[in-house]
Amino acid sequence: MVDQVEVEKRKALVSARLIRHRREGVMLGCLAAGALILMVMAFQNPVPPLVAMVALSLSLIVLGLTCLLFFDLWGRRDADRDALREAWDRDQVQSAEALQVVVMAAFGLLYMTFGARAAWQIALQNGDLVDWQAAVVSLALPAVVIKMILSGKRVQRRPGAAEKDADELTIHFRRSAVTWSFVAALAAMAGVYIAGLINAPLATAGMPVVFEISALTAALRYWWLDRQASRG
Amino acid sequence: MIVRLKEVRTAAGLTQQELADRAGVSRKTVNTIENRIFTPSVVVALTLAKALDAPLGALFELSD
Repeated sequence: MVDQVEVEKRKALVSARLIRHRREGVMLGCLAAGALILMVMAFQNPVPPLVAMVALSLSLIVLGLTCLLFFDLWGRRDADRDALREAWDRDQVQSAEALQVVVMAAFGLLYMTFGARAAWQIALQNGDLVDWQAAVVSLALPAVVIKMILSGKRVQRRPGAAEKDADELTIHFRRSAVTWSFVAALAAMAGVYIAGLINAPLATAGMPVVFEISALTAALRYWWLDRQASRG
Repeated sequence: MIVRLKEVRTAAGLTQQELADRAGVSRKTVNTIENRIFTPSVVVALTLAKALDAPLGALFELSD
């Protein structure tokens, strides 16, 4: 009887958390929309270039952080739903992670575009502080994606749970993703090297593209292996 | 390597998920081993054999 009361109490707590998660999701959506509006305004309004670039950098940072927080929220929400169903499917953790790295890497394309433009300006000796910021920020998402792929740990989605060692299959997928990423990075670097021989600033401007190709390849390979494992 | 995991599992009347739960691995691990996408370590192979109450040689065999 006491156990039943405990279970009901726990379910009520989880339900309350789910409602809070929904509110947090709406807030994150508003934040992302605000950042996008700021980005559009920075391009459309006749504002000084410095202000426009600051607004753009701010938008990119906010969008990146929103993306990270969204996936954290999504994971916690899924974990709470599983707790309500009193079931836990460890396969879901891996699929969620695979989708997460693909979305992060795809999102990195935006950063890459601004990073390459900024790197081009810097290579031509026309870069200002904001260009330096954009060039450095463009490394953020590839770094996050590669960090996730290289990690030997798996983030648990239960609130407050510590990270757990990744299982053998996950490590196998990650190794394969890293191998593909390495090959893609080498191929991209060769392309950038040749482009640099023709026009030197291209070697600098192409580096954000190399990092993004490397991260995107790793993410897509990991996701594809996960899809393959889910079937059958 | 010859993999007979699927045959032994179905003979035992277990689904992939049931075997995964017994062995403490993910269903994807069982699925990828059965489809020869993933070659498990000795530890996982022995765990699966134990979960199926079968000798390791009944599940995996080296081909000539």
